[in-house]
Amino acid sequence: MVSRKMKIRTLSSFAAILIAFTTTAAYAEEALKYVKKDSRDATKKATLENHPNADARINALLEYRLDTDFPKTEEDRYYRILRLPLPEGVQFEPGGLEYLPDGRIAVSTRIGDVYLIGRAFEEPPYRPEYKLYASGLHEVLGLSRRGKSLYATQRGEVTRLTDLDGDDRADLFEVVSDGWEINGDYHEYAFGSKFDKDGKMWIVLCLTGSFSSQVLFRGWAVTVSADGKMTPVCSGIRSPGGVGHNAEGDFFFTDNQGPWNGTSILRHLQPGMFMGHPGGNHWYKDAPNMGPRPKDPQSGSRWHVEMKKIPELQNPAVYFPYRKMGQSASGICCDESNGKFGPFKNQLFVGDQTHSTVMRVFLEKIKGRYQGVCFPFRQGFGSGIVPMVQAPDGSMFVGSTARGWGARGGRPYALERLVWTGKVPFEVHEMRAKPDGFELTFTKPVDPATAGKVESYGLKTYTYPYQSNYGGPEVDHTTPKILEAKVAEDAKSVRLKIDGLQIGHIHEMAFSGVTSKEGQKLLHPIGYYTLFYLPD
Amino acid sequence: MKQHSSGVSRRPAGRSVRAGSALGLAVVCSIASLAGFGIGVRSSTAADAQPLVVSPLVVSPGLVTGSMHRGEFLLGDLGCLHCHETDEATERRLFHKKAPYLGEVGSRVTPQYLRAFLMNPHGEKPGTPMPDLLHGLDINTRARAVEALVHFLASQTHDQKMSGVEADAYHLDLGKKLYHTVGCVACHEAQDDPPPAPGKHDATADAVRRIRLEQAGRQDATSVPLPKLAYKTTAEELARFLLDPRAARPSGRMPSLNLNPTEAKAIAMYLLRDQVKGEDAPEPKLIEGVKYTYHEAGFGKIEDLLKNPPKSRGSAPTISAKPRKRDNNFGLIFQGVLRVENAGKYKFHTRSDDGSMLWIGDKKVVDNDGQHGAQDRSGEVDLTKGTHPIRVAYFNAGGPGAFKVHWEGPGVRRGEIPSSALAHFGQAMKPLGSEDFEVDPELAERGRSLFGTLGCASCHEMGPGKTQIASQTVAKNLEVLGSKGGCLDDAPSALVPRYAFSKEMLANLRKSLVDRKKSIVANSTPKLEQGVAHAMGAYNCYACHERDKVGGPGPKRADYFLPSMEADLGDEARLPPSLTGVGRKLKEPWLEAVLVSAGTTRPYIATRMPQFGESHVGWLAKAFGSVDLQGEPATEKSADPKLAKDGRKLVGNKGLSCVSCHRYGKYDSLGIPAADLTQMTKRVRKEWFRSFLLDPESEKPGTRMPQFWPGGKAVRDDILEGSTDRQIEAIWSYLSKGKVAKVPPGIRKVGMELIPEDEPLIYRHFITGSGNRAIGVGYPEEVHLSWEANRQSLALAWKGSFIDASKHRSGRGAGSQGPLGTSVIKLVEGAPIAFLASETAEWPKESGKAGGFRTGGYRLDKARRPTFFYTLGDIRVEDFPRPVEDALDGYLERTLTFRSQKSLDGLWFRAAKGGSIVESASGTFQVDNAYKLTFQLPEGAKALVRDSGGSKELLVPVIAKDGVAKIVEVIRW
Repeated sequence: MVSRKMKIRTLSSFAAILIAFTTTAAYAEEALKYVKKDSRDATKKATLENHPNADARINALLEYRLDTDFPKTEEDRYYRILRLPLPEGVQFEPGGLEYLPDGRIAVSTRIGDVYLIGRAFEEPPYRPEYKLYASGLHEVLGLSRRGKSLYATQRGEVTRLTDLDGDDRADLFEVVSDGWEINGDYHEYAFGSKFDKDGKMWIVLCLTGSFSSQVLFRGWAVTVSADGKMTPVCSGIRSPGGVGHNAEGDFFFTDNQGPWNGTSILRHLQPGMFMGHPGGNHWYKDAPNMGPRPKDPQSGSRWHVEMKKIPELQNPAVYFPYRKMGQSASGICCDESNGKFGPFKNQLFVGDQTHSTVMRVFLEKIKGRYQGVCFPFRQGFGSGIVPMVQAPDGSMFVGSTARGWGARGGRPYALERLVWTGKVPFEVHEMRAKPDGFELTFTKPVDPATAGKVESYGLKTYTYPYQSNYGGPEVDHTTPKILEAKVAEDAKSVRLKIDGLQIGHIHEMAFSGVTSKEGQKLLHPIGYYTLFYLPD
Repeated sequence: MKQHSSGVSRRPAGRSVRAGSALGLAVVCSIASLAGFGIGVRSSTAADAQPLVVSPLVVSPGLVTGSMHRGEFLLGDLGCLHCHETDEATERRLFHKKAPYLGEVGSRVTPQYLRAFLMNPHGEKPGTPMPDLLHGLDINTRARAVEALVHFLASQTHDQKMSGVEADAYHLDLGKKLYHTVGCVACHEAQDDPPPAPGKHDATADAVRRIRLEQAGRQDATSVPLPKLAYKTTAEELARFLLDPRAARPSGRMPSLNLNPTEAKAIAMYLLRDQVKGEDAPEPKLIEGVKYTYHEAGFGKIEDLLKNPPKSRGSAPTISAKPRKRDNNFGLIFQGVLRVENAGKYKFHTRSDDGSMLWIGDKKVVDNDGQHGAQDRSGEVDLTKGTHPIRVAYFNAGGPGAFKVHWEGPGVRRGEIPSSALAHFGQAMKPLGSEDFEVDPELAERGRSLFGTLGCASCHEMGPGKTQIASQTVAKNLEVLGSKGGCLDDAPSALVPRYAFSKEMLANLRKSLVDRKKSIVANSTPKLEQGVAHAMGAYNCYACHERDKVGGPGPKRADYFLPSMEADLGDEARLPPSLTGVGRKLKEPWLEAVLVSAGTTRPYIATRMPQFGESHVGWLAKAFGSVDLQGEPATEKSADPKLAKDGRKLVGNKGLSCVSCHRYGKYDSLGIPAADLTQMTKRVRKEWFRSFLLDPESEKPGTRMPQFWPGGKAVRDDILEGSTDRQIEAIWSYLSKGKVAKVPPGIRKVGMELIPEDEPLIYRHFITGSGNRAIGVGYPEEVHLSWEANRQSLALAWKGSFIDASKHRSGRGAGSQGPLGTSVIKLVEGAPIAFLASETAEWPKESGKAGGFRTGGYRLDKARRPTFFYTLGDIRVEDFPRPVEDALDGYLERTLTFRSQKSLDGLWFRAAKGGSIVESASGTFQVDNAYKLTFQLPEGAKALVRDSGGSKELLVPVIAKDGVAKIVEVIRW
């Protein structure tokens, strides 16, 4: 067989299609069939030769068939990435994504366009329909629908976009809130969430650069209600990559490695709390609802040590270890589909821009604080992931861009849909802290012989320095001892007893020896639990 | 050259050979030469507390000398081998540090400093390795000896008259920044806090840093001492020294930092800044360069600038825009005299954005006035030989700026007017404590004799091409030197040099000498890696570089290692690279280039790689390789040229996008300024390159280089069948072609002009001259505008092309972009409307949020043209600008609508503010030379021109009917 890559390359131009038609007839024939069908749909007169997007569409079709018939990786068997062909000649760098009740997807881009995409759910996704709803906005990194309007978070404001005359183009651009300031630094991004149950959006504001906050509320999170009331809720943000909620409706954001962040971190935006970077703390004077300014942390210390001195300091819910999991954590998306996206109901899915991956996060609440574990989930996206959104059918739309920050995906930008194939992968489902160890549950029953052996598990711990310098190495390594691995009667969970759990540390746990009842190995036999609290 | 006799050495040539005394130092004819001074000799004691000698052992506390004894290290570093001769191999092995040449000391160092230093070397310059040779003399004798030496040294000069330079704020600031960033403070004491890094202005971090610095203590013995420079020398001489330190200090310990003349001058001025303070400021006289006044305001033409009071004053070497403190809304007026050597016709050229003007005497020679893009103008004038007053004024309002002044004439080729052709009256910098000093030939002759008899000449040569002076002192050969007595005595006897050794130093030196006697040292052949470590200690490489877990910036100095630009590379952007395994990483020719010809690949690190001289460190290029490669072959297999095409694809933005971070020859990367790809294969070894790509972290801990082959597997499986080996080979193959290869896809930034074809285009971004919440609107009529949403004002309008989006839509999109078109006009800033108690009441200063305004947004009409709206209290304002095409040109028609439930009595709209507003008979208002306004107003309403603090304002009354008021304004330009 000719390799599939060779085929894609040779088929990438229309002239080559005809050659391919005679040599590898099956795929090309099918492709032409789709194109013809679409031509009929679009315009009776259109022919394959003059169809503007024929190349892109044929490629999309071929890739789809090849990916279905020859999954590239083990992950492809469970979750498939469907890449949408993009409008030609457009710098399509998604910054915000929203699902609309009419079945369309709204996408805002870094150059400030907003598109409405029809036929985005077709499989294969070869002929989406793009409508330019708005353009020229200031780097929109958040899109949320409410009523007939879309709320776009621009660098300098939240704007309500409304189409008054029903031609799918916004006519009215109203400032909802411009209650924070902007200084002209490219770093001053603003990420906006969806509306919460109280009708408020959560906006996280990057510092002016990496270190300081030169204008009001840079390095803060604020909420903005639909009628424009802005409330500062948390300081301590450095350089966010995304903001989103969990199933309980609590909001979280990802912050990137840099000063005061040893690696990328997921933290709970608990109003009143300090997220860790003191660069923006001089604005407490402008946020009377927040009380007095917290003490500054001591550089070079450890996060859990400073938490004892600074009561407002929020614990990292999840550390994403640098390079091991990713290098720039980004969008956050909760699986609220109740099973349509597979077995990970209510868990969080978090993008990584550099690695072009989606990671999986399970959180639990101990002593009123969130903490939990991250696992690798899906790699191979087209570019550096930024926004994610789940549609009612359970699938997730994932937007990506590599401009200014390189990404593994290799494309300058992409829009993809992540779809569950219906097959359940063998994975660690949840990992919970216990006073003397961890409890693991699995997506399938385990083989008690392997899962009950302590040798099937490996565990080391470490953390990062909490410091004003950029990033930091892993420090304070320990190797706790796994004393016992006890498999439950139903073979779906395992209780690990461990000597030497470390508060404030990442517990990097390998499950390499564990197999399922059918002898299957775990799809991702590693997890990283961030332990700040132990249950009583 | 050198001869060795049993245990006794002679040097330099011509010195008489005598048997050494038991002290290791003999004084020849001392009595005879000192008798003339009526010498009284006293003995010194250990009670004379002296500051200690600073050596690299102190400066690099972690220094490991391997199996080599620390005393050996000191023998080389303290210059012991000057007197105690040894064989050439040992001399080289111990990195014998030669004392400064004194052949030109007369112009380099002031007599007042020489006098003070010779009287009390350790007190005048704590930490100096210069021994006290006169400690045995009583105070009067010492003073007379010193005076003779000073006259002798002062007579050693290259006879360059010091013209004196004027300190100016530009050079002082630059010098302060350079001194604390280019690497001076890696060895010397910091004199201020670290300057803020580009892009960082962080009060918290600054506070933390300051506390840390205070805790670390600024002044300690780990710094190479500086003398009292303000007494010692002049700015020109210090700058000359900094440009080529090895000319005066042949040991190479003080390296060159690749400064250009301006930088050297700036550092020199900064270090001598005490010369411009104090009361005995020198008399003004005619000195090089020009005076300038600096102004801040939005100027429309030179006339405005000339009327504006200056914000600050200073002097500058040449006429340029350098003294500006910001890039927009500033002006500069230069004044001075032009020195003309040959009479004749002179032509002057200016290029400026915006306006400029050049006068010679009272004659306006080049008129480049008004607001415009970079534009060339010239003019001619006949000049006589001699001096002529010159005046140049320049301003930039909004947008990018440019300013150049050139001249040409008889004997003058076209170019910038050099500093030497410009002069003005100013106060020259002068060494502190300056005195009238004239060399007394008789005294100088005595000094010359003392220079030889006292032993000064043992260490100090006069320098290449100078007449050397023979030392009259003889010392024991190093190999037979005892470990007690002589210089090592607690209280050395008179005429034996007295050093300021610490106890530990003494112990180390003594042990070394004992070991030498026992031949322990002499017989052991040191390994090359010890030699490398010794060299890194001697030249203090460890101050910046870590190698094998030794060295690297300590806590006290780490904060002075800064990025030179906003690189977003973390510590990689500021700390010099680790040298662990550097011989495995870098190719020998590249290492050599770095060591001896200022090669560098990290433009983002402010600290520079110092140049110690080929004779001192050239050998290290090979030595690093020999030590680190450990027999690994240094040759590499050549890359398969057929793979270059795929390599280019991988490097480009649709492959692994190396170009996101790495520059490629002259092309900037799309993001951060990581190392130049075209140099890669010349710089690093292929084996290292491969291993680095496979696992960046293990080769370079802390690097931000991503791993593209995690677990050895290619993330791009569609290129070269996903073969890791072939992909890496392909990249190497492509990069091996160097600069002649086709540039990688995606790195070339091309203009991205936005053209409103069928309907208006909105462009919200950072637009120069329109604030950070700017809303640019481009219209198909080719009349465009930018709305400033921060202040609810129509900020700019222009014609022609709309805007180039490439800056904001490539890379990270940093920076502010100005209009692309021509004839940009800047309209009025500040609050657009206000209630005034009377026609003379002052217009409120507050605008935007502070002034009570709230931005509402905009609505697009059927033609997609925006109407902006905002509120002030109960008043809702709509502002609808509309481009109109007429036969000749386009213009803007602006309709403002005001609605309120409350009375609008006393509400005014401020249509313009400028240096001049003139109403012509037709009701047209000419604002400066920039634009014309006409209005359609309700019956009885009349626009008002009034004075406002030196400028004019044009106010239009807002007159409501049934709660609605309307003003139509037409703007033509």
